Amino acid sequence: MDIIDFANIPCTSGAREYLKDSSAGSVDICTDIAYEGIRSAAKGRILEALQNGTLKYRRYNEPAANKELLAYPVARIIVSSINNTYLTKRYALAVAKLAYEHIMSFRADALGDLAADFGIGVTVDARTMNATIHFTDYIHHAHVLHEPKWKLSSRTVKGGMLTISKGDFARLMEEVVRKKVEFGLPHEVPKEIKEALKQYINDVQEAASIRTNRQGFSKEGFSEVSSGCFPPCISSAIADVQANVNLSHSMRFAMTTFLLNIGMKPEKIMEIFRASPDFKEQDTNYQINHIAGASGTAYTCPTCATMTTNGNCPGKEVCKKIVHPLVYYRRKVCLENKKQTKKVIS
Amino acid sequence: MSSISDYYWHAPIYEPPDFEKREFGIMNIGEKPKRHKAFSSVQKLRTFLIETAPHNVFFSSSKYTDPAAYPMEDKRKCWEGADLVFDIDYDHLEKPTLKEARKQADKLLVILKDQLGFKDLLFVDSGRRGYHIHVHDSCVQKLDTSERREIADFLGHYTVRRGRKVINPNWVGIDIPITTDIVRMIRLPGTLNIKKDWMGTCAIINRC
Repeated sequence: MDIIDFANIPCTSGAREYLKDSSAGSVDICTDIAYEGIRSAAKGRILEALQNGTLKYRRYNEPAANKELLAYPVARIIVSSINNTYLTKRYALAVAKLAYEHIMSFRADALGDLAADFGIGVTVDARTMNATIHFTDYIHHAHVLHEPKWKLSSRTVKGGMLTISKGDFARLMEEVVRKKVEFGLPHEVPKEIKEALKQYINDVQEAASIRTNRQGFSKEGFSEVSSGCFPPCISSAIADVQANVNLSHSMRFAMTTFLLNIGMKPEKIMEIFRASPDFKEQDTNYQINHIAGASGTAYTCPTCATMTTNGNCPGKEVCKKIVHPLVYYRRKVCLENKKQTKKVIS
Repeated sequence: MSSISDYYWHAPIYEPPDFEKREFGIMNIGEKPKRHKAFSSVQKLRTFLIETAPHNVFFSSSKYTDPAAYPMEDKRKCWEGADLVFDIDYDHLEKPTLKEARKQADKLLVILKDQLGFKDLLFVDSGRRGYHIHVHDSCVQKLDTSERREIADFLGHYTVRRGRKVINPNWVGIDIPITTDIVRMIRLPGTLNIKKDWMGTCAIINRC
């Protein structure tokens, strides 16, 4: 791998070595007037990530790549100083997406080198560019990807190995990069460096807070329970209970945690369960209060992945991009609120 | 001396790899389970079992730096890895017979070896309702719950092929939480399985 690769995938061990050997120390980069351009580039990349969710794939020459790589640790310092989860995640994602574009240009041996650097053994077929990896390496990175094709059950596994296309392999590597960039953020930043980068930090912070305010979801949405906004899994569970159908244990748990999480009172939930064919007031009361945190642990509603595994996901099209029942509810409430505001205005 | 103690004098108690890192527990009928025990050798465990004559004996599929740590948060902090475990109980199956459970366990063994490529398996008769398979391969030890869920789903009822939901040819009736949990207690092979109206032995069928 060379400096062009390092600039596009700055979390490789090669890039780390290169930075360590480079003549510029991290304090110099943050303070010296000669490195002004690098500091600006660092700020620029973070703003670009905030704005677009990705970084433009630029064809660097060597000096430009060198500058780009030097900007990476500075960007990490700025992101760390602000310490905003949304910003950190968005930045890491953007760096990872850029890495993906670059990885797609790799030949077989470069793919192998990169994977080895990330601790993943791979054999790449030079003709088809298909990559063969061990299934545990695969699930380690693929389990967070939600399209059905990423399920292990959608792949053919033989002797522990599975073969995926170059595009899919690059997507997995993107995931590794995202985790690696996010790892260790935010890190400690010495006071004097924070002081030296003050202007850059303020600019990014301002941009980030405008965005997070827009993204942010006011807690008030949960103060009132909007049953029209329930995801299909919860609606159908409530409908089942009301139709005297007995729910599975895991579905009862999911429904109770969900309703508690959105702020429904335990008494209200009791009323819903009352129609259940095996309703026992005392037991139900105990269970709801236990889940609500009477024993010290308050439970959160299971993710969509768990719901699917337990056979509690009705698998409705509407949820395609949803990973958690609470996210569905939150978005729906947000949308409804927007509609209401529009009505009031017009 | 009870007959349970007698049994443990000569019982072929299974010694899992990294024995001293495993948590052990016992449970008597009508009592709460006693957990968080650790032993430096099988001999010490044997003495304990002879003295306490328990109805049921369990060990952790996980390994801990301090297996006797308690409460659970402390235990999780010193978690070092866990075997991958599968449980097939006949009463969870569509055709609830022990014969069907064996059929499913045999099918699972083939999938684990041929498809997932595991090389270090322990096949166990649980002594009452079905079978356990313990995977000791090093590649599974560090898998977290969501990664184990992928393996459980690999054996699930349905799968998606070309955008369509279809019956999964690898479908095996495993008890999913046993496989996905990384701090699970499993019946120890070579020990007794005693219920109110039942007495059996949890025994190794083979290593494969």
